[in-house]
Amino acid sequence: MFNRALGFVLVCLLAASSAFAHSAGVEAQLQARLVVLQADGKESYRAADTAGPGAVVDYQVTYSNRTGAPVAHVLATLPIPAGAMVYLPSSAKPVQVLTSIDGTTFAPTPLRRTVVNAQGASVTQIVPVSEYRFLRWDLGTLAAGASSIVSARMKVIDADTAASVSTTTNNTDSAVSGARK
Amino acid sequence: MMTFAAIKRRAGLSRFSKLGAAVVLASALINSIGAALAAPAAGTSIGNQASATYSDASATVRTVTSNTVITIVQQVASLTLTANGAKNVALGGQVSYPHTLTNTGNGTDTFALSVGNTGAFSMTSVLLYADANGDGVPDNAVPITTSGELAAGAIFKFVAVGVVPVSAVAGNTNTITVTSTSTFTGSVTANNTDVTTVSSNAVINVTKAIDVAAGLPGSGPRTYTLTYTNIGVGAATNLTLADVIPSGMTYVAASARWSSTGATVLTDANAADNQSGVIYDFNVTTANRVTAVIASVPVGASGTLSFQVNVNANALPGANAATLNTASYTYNDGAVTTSSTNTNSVQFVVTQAAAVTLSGSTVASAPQGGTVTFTDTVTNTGNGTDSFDITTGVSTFPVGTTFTLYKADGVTPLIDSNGNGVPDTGPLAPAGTMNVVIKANLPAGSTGGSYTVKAIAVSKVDPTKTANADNTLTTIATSTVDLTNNSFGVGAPGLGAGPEGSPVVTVSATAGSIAHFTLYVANGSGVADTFNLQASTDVNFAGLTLPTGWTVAFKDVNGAIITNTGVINAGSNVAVYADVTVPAGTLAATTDVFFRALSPTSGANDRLHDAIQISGARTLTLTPNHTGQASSGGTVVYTHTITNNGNVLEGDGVISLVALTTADSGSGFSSTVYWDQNNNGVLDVTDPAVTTLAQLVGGTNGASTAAGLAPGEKATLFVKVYSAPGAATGASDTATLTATVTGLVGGVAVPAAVSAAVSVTDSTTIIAGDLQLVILQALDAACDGTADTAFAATIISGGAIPGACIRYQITATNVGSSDVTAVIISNATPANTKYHATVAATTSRGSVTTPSANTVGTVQATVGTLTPTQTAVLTYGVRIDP
Repeated sequence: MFNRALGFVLVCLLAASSAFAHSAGVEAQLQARLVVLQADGKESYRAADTAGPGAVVDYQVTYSNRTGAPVAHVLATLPIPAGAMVYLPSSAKPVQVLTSIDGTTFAPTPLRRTVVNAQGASVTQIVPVSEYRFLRWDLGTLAAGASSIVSARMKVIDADTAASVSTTTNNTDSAVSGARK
Repeated sequence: MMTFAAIKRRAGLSRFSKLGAAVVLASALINSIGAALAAPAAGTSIGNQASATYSDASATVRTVTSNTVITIVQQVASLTLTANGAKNVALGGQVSYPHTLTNTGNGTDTFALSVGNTGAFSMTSVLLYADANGDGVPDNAVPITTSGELAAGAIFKFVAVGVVPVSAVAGNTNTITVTSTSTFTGSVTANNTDVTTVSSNAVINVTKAIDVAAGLPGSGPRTYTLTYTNIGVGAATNLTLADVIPSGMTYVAASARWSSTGATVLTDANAADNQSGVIYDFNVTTANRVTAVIASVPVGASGTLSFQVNVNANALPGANAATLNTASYTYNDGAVTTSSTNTNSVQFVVTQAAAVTLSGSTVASAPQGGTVTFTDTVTNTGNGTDSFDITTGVSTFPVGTTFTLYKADGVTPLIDSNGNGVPDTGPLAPAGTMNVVIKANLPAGSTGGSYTVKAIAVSKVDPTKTANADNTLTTIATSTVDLTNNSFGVGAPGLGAGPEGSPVVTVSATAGSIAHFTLYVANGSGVADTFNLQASTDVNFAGLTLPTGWTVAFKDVNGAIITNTGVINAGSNVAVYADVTVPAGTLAATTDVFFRALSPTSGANDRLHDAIQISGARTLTLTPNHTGQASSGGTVVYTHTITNNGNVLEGDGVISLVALTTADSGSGFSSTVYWDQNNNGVLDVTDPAVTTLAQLVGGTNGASTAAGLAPGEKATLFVKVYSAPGAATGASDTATLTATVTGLVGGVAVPAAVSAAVSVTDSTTIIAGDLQLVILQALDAACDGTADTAFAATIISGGAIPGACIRYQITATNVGSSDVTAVIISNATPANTKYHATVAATTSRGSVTTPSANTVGTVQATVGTLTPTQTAVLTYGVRIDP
């Protein structure tokens, strides 16, 4: 009788620990909305299932803490799709955002980099926003059951974007190739 | 200029004019910045997936990824048309203008082509012809009015051919307008103007062609041919052909030939040598330029100049400006030297050669259930921007291992950026590298090694170009836990893997108390883990067995009951308490108890060998005292119960000695102790006389079978008192039965209280008559006043619960030889009972007085005289206090 009772306890205990192993974590829900300018100049949104070049998409991520306990050091990362989107500066909310071109090093905007120009001098260059690939927000601590929302706007690359950057790209390339010499 | 063009084109896109404000603002910000970008193709899926890292309650850094949202890129029409032209023409002659239409929209479109002309004269006809090879000459004689279907980014070359009427006068001009209109969006158009001036002098037309219009970087040589014709009415002189070699190509030395001099090599380095009517040089008159001056071109004459180039090895793939070539020319038409005129443009398309390399990595060790991070480097060794699908291939990792792909930061998931459903690197420039992180989440239960998983990179441009690399985990370190007593770490009792051979800590407790253990569970592995807490007397924990009645409760430091430690971080420990409850009556002994901490996930465990020593408790009781009568020289038997209420064996005659002795106070009285060996409550002839408890062997009917009394065991003893012969009526005797306990048991001496108290007294009074009283009892469980069983002297073993009734039958018998007078039978209601009046007390003789119903008191039968052998029977009931 005693053994059976303890056996039952053991079963409960295994169940409890397996619940630990698969406990819910932080959930991230991403939503993409197309920003549409109405005739009266106000903005409205519709689902961004489709978008033409030049269209502005508002990405919004909701992070919800389902762990049942506070979580700390929450770093929310939102990529900027390469080859398709450019970040619209100052559109990040919260405004305290870090940006990165490689997903490894994050810094406040504007990003800068040091290159050696054709004359062999090191110059600090502002990284074109179109090369930004990641946004990151430090959300700090998220209480149990709490949610936090971040958002940013990005533009689908259009012919204007492509044309307007090609000249500066050449300049950048020559500076970099100068560095290789 | 650029901005103006952009705004102008945007103004044409009326369908986006309402959206314009926001977009223009965005564009203005972006105009000064950016990288080489192209609008994504219509139908492109733009996938995006957010992520976050955070530290959970166990300080473990975890990653969460969101759903993926997909946006499909819609088509927007756009085109460019180049170039405006200006030429001279002879009366009645033809003039042709090359044009290039580029679909700069992001989807397939068809463009309508139309022409019109105005000016001092009207063209006899203006028709458009396809010029697929871009040599500036119609491919055939079929006029066209459409470009046909053009993919995004595709170009369409055609020529506009005007026929000048003979009525035109020299000096007259005509402007041909070529218009191209998008079919997808009719409002999107572009046009060029071609200005024709009628000349009465020489008119030279030059076209440019290449032998093969596409090839790999580093290929060649390719031959450019410039063809000139004098279609005017006078000879031209000093036709100067100029052709700047584009940046993606390199001139081949000594490759120039002129049609008039056949195979003769035109010298490159001399800008002054006249070689039979041509002065040719490369890189002399102007750097990196072919310059040829042909002295004279007669009316109607035509000729060619050819030279070769090699495609540079580092040429970027595609139809780029670096491999786009346009020549220009001037000549003296007999009157003036004409201004420079461009030939048609020839585009050489560099084909893309995809290639990729991938390097793997090795990780020496990872904990059970941990995450292994491999960093692989993908290098685009092709000549064009490419993206590479990353997958994991053959794996020898344990079943249950999951692999996830991340970007270089190890946090951002690798996603599908090129729409084929497989995560990829995203666009990588030639020679560009990118680190890809592969995380292997190990199943908790697996150990050993080594394990290898292949990473595979596949080119998007050319899926036959792949690379793979091994990622190796040398070993999975086995998770460990250490269970110790009282402290943790170096010096802690029970440190290291258990179970220990002998108890590490022995806790003393008395029966009926709780033994407290303090345990430390130290997680020795590299990952957080949880541990189930268990206790057993089985060292192998085949079952979680404890002695009957024992229980264990694990508690955290706050006293809350737990069965699991909760999460213990890598390298950390927690204190827990194990409270083992030992039931009352537990025998004095030392019992080994094993504790175990066992991870349900990793299987890491440690056992700890402890023990509980139950201290001895010695209690022997003897009850009750009796009062009786005997006739002179007669006997009377008193019944006693001796009980071992301790937790050790008493009176076995070896360790514990219990002597049974009697002493009589009355002169001439004597007494003897008998044991109710058959346990029937009556002194039988077979019941032996005993002097020590060691003699209590061979009992039946529940009586002691082995020497002494085990804990909780009891025995019935009879004291038979022999009255002194001739004792006077009224004489009395007190027989005292004493159990004398000696000897140490388990080091525990006999408590003073035990040896002093273990005695009972039997008081006997000599009476004249020889009246014998026998009291019998029977249970009346339902309190209906009727005995449930026959009356007996034996103990009611069951059912005598509070609220039940007991019936008593007291029989007075005159066993003497003369009358007994004034007999009164009295019996007080026993303690904890009250008189039960449902069936009133009766007597077979005389009368009865009783207490009130449900009160205590004495039931009394006034019998009067009993003659020899005569009996009187008093019957009544009591109810046990509820």
